Amino acid sequence: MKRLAILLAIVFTAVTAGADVQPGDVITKDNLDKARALLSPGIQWCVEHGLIIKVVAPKKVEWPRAYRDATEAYSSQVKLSAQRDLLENYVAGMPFPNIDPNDPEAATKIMWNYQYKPLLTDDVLMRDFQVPSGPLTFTAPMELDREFMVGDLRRLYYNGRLFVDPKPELPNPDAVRYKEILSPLVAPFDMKGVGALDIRYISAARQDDNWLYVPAIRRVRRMSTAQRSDSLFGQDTDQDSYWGFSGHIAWSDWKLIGIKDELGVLHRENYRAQRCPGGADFVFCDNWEKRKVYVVEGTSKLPQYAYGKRVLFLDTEAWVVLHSDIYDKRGELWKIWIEYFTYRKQSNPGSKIVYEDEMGFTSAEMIDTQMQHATLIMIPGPASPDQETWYFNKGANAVSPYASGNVEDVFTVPHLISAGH
Amino acid sequence: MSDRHARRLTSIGLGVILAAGLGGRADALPRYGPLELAGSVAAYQLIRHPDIDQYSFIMQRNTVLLRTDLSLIQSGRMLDQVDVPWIKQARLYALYRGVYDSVYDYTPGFNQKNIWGNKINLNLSDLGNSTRDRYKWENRLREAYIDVDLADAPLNFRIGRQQIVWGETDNFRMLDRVNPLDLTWHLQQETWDQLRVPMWMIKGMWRTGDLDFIPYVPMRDTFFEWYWNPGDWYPAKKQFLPRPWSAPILDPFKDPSTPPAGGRGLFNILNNLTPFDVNSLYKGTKLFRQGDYSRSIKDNSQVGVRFSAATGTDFPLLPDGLNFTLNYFYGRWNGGDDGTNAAVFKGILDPRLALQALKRGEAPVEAISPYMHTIGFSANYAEEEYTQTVFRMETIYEMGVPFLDTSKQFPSRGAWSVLSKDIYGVSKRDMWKGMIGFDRPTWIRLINPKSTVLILGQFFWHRLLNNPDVECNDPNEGLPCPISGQGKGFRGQFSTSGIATTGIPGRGVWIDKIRDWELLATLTATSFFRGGKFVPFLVYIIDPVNSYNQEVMWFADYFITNNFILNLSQRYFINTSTRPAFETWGVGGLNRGRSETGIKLTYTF
Repeated sequence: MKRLAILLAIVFTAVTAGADVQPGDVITKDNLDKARALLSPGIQWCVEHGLIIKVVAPKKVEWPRAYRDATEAYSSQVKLSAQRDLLENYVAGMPFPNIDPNDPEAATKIMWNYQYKPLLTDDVLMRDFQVPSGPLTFTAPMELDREFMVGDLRRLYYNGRLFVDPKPELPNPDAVRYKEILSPLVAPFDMKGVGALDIRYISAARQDDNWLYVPAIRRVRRMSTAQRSDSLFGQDTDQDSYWGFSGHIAWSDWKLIGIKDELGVLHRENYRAQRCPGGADFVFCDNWEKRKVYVVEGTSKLPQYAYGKRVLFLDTEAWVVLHSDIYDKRGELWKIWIEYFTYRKQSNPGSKIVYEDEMGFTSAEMIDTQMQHATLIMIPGPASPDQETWYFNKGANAVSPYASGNVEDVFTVPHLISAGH
Repeated sequence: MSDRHARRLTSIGLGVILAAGLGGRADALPRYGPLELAGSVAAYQLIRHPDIDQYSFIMQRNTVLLRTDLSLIQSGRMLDQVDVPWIKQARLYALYRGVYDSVYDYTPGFNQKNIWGNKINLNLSDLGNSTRDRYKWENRLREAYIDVDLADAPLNFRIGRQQIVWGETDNFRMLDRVNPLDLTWHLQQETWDQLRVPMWMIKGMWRTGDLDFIPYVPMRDTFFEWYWNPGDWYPAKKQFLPRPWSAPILDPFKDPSTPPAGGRGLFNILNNLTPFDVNSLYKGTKLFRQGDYSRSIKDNSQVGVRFSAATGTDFPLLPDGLNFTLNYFYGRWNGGDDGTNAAVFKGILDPRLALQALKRGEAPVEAISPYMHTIGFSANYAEEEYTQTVFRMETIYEMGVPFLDTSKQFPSRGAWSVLSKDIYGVSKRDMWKGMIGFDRPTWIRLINPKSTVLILGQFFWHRLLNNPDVECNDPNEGLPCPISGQGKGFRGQFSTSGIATTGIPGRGVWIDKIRDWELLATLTATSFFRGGKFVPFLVYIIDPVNSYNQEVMWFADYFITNNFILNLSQRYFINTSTRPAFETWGVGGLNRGRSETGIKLTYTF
């Protein structure tokens, strides 16, 4: 038995030694093999097409204290419902802080933890971000098909609240999980004024409700949300892919593939995400670190879903998706979602807002490997004059020229109407 | 403005489009502190092809849009300098539109036919200079208003020149009735934010939130919204031939052309028959402009109110999340920009009053826009489980829509008999109108593997209540009553006694029948291709009541760069009969022979 354990250790070491990186290493397509085992197939594709990975020493990501306290106080009473589509007795914090990989429900519990992750608890405002998209040539900078400038994107959580009263839950007769409003699109002129309101419910039986303000018709239009894998305005992103995965947990079947080391971006050096040079400018170049991740595979239960499966690489400490690989129905790699986080107490050195805990400021992108097309989400974008573009858990103080804070009144159809021009 | 200056302006506009638009990167937010500036410059060409071998250039419209948004007060402070009591937020918004249509300068020759199929033999060059100047220029601050959110109450106001749009329909007029339409330059064939006439109004919204005070009837996201137009109101703007996109008839009062297409305008007839110089309507009223009232708060106010809510959990009989509105309007009749074949003028049938009018140089015909009450209801619901479709509906009940009533006419004998087949009084009736529709994003992977195709369908109806039968004055004569004239029943706007079109009694007589039911169906499909760079639309419209006349339309936006857009469009109007189709919606009957191709270049900044 002892000999077997030693043998296994040697084999394990041999495998990882061949695929280990050290802080200071720079991974390019020329030495990709060095890091291949630490990269998903999607990230490998990116490196093969020009992504340069600068490896730095990993840094711990601490949970906000209030989140830690809530987890300690309430996690023991949380249970999965019989259909695994709901949490019972959930109040706040992480529902299942101790995951046993051998638990048959491990994947589902991981995803519920992701749903109630430390980063997003009460509310968030992201301002002034740019969303360019275009085809990839790999030999020259990305051409521009379309580029949207978003004024405000806000989200208000109704349960699991820790910082802004009322806690832990807003009055919630309709069992809302969160409401999200994007309003307005600031540019280009033909899309100026577009706004969208989305409501996610706690119950998996209830689909999202969504409304769109369309300036050309000067009114709010009800939208169907059933086609969650549909690309938005023709770009590469879809409703379910934001943050790595934005659908309701119970709308997919989940399988835990394993726990592994993976390179990801959690402490981005540049506040404004920097695009790689030349033909690789469809990705951001910054610091990557070795992280322990859950590898979770999800298959949607929704009819006519465009994707066959998505594989999430979920950081075990920060509980955010570092990146995800999305496959088509034939099982071939189709899209890659990458998050570029930077965890810090100030979004940037000049920021007036200093948080008590480290918060995760991110930019992201979606790459369509089959159509050779990409959509970048840069928060803030290079064109934004304002450095202050992130507000976590600020409630009524998350004020912008477009809304008076992350308050319930803003996340309504009347607000979409009254803000519409 | 001189022609040379105008041509220079056109060249500059086109030059801006071509040179600047080829750049394309959105390098900066259009924001300068609290101020946002944005706009567009566009050149829009329409080529009419009534037949495969006939082409006419009918529009070359250059448009500048300039928009400003100013965040004046935020969190109770004005421009971050001064505290302002009672107000939480205030934003100023202004939209300027400048237009120059060069066809009114170089007047390309083209011939048009009226709805009865006769060539009108009039060109744009036959219009006077001042008339063409009026048509070719627009220089207007279209919208300018302030949005104010109160600090301590869930109230906000929009005060100023604005558009107000209620309802669930796409490009149809039921609850969307606050602003009349300008139908003079492309009829209704544009997005209506460009066609609605903005007006000075006050709009208010009271957000009443979740209402649970009625037991077992929970309502969410409720609000009341109301508006008051304190007198700045006109009916729908319409024009006559030879303007290319007008009502398909010559001016029935001042017709300058000659028979058989025209030449029999009412003023001409009265001037020939009487010693008076008749050149205006009764009491100075103006068709499509002003009835017998002053444009004042007392005489011309329009108001409306609506209540909106979504059904909450366990709402009885209805599913959760169904949005609905209840609406009420009190305002003047818009003049039939909703496809109703209603009256926009009435005859002054009292011989004493009619004679007095003639002596003043006025025809005994008065332009009218009577007040009416309208109530309405709309709803939408997203059914995601079985059909993945959004269903929407809208319905209104209008009280007192005016119709020309042939039972009210001048005596058929005596001095006024010559007008007995041209001038009628008006009767009012109620109408019920409605729409049901659906929106469904649908995967058709053969067409687009990356994005769904959004399919939208709408079905409309108009129902006229207590519609009298049509009969001739002589009960032994059959329709269209060429000899004795129509004596009973309502009369549509394209009816003619024959004198009006041919000058010969009994010839060219048409009865534009006003039906109990008018129906229309539309189907639209659109999707995004090439990352949103190419966005096509396909539209099909059919009127099953009026000889199945149809319109097939496609248009596509191609984003050459992010800011430089090429729009191509084609419209085909299809008729199944060579006889005139007196349809009221503006489809193939009204627009026979107006099939066209459009090319539009737009630069946005």
